[in-house]
Amino acid sequence: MEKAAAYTIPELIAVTLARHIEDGWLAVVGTASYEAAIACRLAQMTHAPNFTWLFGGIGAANPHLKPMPPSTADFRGIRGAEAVIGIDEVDDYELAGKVDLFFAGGIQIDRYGNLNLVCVGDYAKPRFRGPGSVGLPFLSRVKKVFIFTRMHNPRVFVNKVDFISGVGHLDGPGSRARAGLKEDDGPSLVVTNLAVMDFDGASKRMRLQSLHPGVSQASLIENTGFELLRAESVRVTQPPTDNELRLIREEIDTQGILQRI
Amino acid sequence: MAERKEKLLSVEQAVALIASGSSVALGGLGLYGAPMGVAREIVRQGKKELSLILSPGAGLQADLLIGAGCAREVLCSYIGFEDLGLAPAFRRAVESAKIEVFDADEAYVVFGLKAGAAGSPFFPLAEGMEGFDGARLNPKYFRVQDPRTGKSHLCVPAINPDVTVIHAGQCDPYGNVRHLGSRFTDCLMAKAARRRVIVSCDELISLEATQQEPQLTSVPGFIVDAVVHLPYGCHPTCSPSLYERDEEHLRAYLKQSATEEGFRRYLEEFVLRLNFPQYIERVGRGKISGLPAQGIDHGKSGSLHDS
Repeated sequence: MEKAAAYTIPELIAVTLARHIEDGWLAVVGTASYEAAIACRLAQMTHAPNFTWLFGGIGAANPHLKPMPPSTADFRGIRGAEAVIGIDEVDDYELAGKVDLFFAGGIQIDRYGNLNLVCVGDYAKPRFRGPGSVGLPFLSRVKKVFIFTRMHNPRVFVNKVDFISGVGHLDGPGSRARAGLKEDDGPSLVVTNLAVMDFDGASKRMRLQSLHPGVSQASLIENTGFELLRAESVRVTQPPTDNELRLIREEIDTQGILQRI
Repeated sequence: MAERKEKLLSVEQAVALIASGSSVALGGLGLYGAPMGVAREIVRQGKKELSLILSPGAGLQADLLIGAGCAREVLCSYIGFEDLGLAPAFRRAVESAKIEVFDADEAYVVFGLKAGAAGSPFFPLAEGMEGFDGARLNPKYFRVQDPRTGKSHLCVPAINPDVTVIHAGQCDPYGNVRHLGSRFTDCLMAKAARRRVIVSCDELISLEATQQEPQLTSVPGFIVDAVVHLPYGCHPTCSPSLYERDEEHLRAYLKQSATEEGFRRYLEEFVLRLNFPQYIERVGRGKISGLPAQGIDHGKSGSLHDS
């Protein structure tokens, strides 16, 4: 008999994000980003000891997150940190282009990785009003963007966002350059509850890399509101190793937020 | 010898300083350090046509004022309840076009406040920020050409609220403030205020206590106009290091406020009929003091839960 899956989807998302973080980078984690914060800590504890991250709301540099607090604005987010800086100082580094990586999501995500946190439908008379763009416009000023969400469905994964909060690859090849941005920067990874995707270098369109264990191609297609490109060989996402899961549960997320959200 | 004047006011007196039609900045971030006691009093005094200026993340403080019809317009980058959900009154107001929203981003709020604090007219943003649709749809953003390079830059205007309202763990009678956690945009909002700065605090400390460790002062008293001693003044949001967010109350608010009628009932029950001491009584002092914020010991507080 096969061993039962011993991890949760949020844990799989965190582990996958962590594996893509490179040693030496500087990252910022924003509002409502449990998986991203835990991924940062996990990367430091595994392959990226020289990676630095800022917990945006509270302004903590390299906190130890044991345990993970309920919000990025929670004062307990400073535990174990090396420095606590103001939100205005975090913004200085973002605007100045010193940040390598930003984690982001949206109420809509399109095939070029543009992100929307503002509205569904017409901006002047929205069918649905979201919370607002917060720090997503800073995406223009960082090198890499990792997109993550637990809501992979056709309402979120749309052909074109109704409002651009965070700039992705805009309208495709050449459009970032025309907007004064580096063509090769921008969204490079998408991790959801169903799959892992990246962006094709030539067309800048979102491309399937791996399906999570147990997810069928048909179900992914059904839950994506546009045609996904496919990598040459689509794999199965590698589940968390025993060590990764142990680090998350015993050294970081000791209150088990990723096991209940 | 003439005596130095204390700045202590009741919450009613402090809110009376806010004129309908003025611009008001509200401090805190998300569900942390929000000046809820003052916000409820603004609703009770029936202030109208306010222009709200919100920190990069705002929650209940904004939702309540917007739902109660106190605001004509709002400058904001995020209004929501983070992990607990979306802001119901804000959503309704926007979806039914009852409020003018100036969709900003975190950069607009922070760098606009920086310009306002320094008395500068605007802040030019670094290249690339114009990809955000708000830069096109919010008419407050504008462009300026640098005469040296000929390059055009996206700019945000200075933010100078008529009145800034913040809450902190501690303050002395002369307005020297101590935050017992992060300061968020509170200090910038206080510096950028055009007319008045109102501070509510959980614990009133003595001037001597301030003088013993002046390096802990987060907002200097010389820019503060009113100090309101309001123990549990952040409830149901969290006052860093002192008490937790009251998730039960917040979830009940969100559930009830899913409809306009439910929101009205909440207003009646928790805002309009109750002054501040009655509100604390209604919620239960024991309940709030039973939400101690564990995790960081700043070693500086003491009086709150004994009072």
